[in-house]
Amino acid sequence: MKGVIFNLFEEFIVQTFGDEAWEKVLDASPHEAREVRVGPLTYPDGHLLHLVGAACQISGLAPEKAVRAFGQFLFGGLARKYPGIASQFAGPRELLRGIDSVIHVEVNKLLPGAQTPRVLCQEHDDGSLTLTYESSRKMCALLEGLLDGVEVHYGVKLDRHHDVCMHQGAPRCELRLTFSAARAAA
Amino acid sequence: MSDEVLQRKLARAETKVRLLESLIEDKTRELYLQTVALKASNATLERIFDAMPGPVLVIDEHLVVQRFNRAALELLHATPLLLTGLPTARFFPDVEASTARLDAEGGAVMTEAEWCLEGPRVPVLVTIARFSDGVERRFVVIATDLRERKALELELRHAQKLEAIGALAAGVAHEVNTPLQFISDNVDFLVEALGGFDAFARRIEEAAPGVWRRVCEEPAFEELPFFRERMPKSLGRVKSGLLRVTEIVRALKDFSHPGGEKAPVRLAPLVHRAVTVGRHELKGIDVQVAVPEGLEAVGYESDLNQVMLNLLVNAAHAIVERHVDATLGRIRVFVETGPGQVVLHVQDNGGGMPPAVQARVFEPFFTTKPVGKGTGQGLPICRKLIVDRHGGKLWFDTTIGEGTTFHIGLPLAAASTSGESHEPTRRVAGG
Repeated sequence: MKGVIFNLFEEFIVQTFGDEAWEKVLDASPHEAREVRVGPLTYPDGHLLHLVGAACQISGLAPEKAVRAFGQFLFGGLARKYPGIASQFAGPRELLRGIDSVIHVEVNKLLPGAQTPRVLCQEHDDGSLTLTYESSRKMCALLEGLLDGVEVHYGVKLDRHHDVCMHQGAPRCELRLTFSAARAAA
Repeated sequence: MSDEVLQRKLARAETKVRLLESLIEDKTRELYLQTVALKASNATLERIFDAMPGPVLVIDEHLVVQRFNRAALELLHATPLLLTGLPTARFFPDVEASTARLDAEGGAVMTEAEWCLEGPRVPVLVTIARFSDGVERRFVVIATDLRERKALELELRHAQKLEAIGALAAGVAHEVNTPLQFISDNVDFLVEALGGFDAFARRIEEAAPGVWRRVCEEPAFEELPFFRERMPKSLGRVKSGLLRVTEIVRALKDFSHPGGEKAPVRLAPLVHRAVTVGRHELKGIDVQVAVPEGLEAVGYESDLNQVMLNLLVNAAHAIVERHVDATLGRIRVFVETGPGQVVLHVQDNGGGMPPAVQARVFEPFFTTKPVGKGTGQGLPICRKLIVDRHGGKLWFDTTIGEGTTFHIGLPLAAASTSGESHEPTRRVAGG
């Protein structure tokens, strides 16, 4: 996982729960998970899981809920840090269509070695979309949070059906998305 | 925020700065090494680009030259300064049509063209393809120099034409030969018969003096003395003309013989044949041939026929160009022999060649003759036949205002003898 994700997680905890809370998260984490990280370098995924686990202990949030909340924060943080990427898309539909073919390509240019998940977008005649998520990290909750961030960023409402999930033994997650007509036009 | 938290945050921020500095240093070093490697790779590509034997150019969307290799400079006789930024249409007028075709057809287009900038017009096969360097779309233009191929095609056409003319000449010579033979036989009979008639007249004068004179005074026979006196001369001229025609026919027949294997070739008949066949061009010129009868070179007779005729005709043209009056011209054909080698010299007293002509005289398509008179293929073909086919040499000496001598060096045949020639000077009569 890239350092930028760790640093945005720190930002998320500090903004949500305060500076002391982050110190507590660090204190509650194993020694190796406490190291100082810089954005472009890559660190073990396990360190983030330790930090998330510690944050859940301290905040009392369920892990899935915490990861989803972080996902929403992450979308805003990344859009702020790399404005050139999000601005390439005319709207949310275009952005979702371009996750693998544009966003992950750009991320790998900026952060070589980033192990981005595989997220494919399939469009249906009724205007709905199916996102297929495939990653050894199985962080579909983070994807859900990122979609929350898309809603906030573009001011749209995405109705979701996450019926096929890796956590239920499926080889990949499938999220059926429907744009709420009134807000999608915004 | 407590002091302790603040201290911890500060410590982490300092660590982060150190890490980032170290990262920047690493990246800077990496960037430097990559730049060095990239420069080396670029230099290698540049060298490959420059070493490519064919001309290659890169032109932009506006059809302006951006890059080119050494072969392109050489083909166009241009300097880098001249070619950089030059509109391609300056030397390749069809470039716009070709790139339009490329837009319509895609892939790559090939077209034949003639390129000319500072040097001569050069026939080329041009291949154009589009490419994008990530910033803008450009064209890569690859040219193949067709001069050699065109020369070979022309040479082939020339050879085919010569072969056809040769076959025609041989056919005509064969057809003419038979009537020529019986005309000659009949003339011989008439000469003989006339001799008998003259002897008969003399016998009448001896046996009956005055009878012949009185018969000749009768109006019906008054021209008999005139006929008796002039007919032998007249038949003699007919006989002489017939011999000349026979000689020409024989020379044509021999000249157009296709030949086959490399074999000893008698040089004296070869030169005489060329003089006879080229009689029309050599008209009025004093042609002196001093080639010993037994001298033989190893070669292809038909090729050597062609070379000798070519050199004689060129000499005649040089003479006429200088003197206008052909009777002031003189061509000497003579030989020298050395160990295993014979050199045939064709010397004229034409105007000689200036240095600019000397440098290009064996260049295909180069000619100083007026349009329609020379193809610029004669001497290049001569050189090809002598040097490439025979492993011989062809060179020249020339002096402005004095004339030119072409030298043909050939292997001497083993059984060849090189006695002195006593050929008389020939002034070639009109044909």
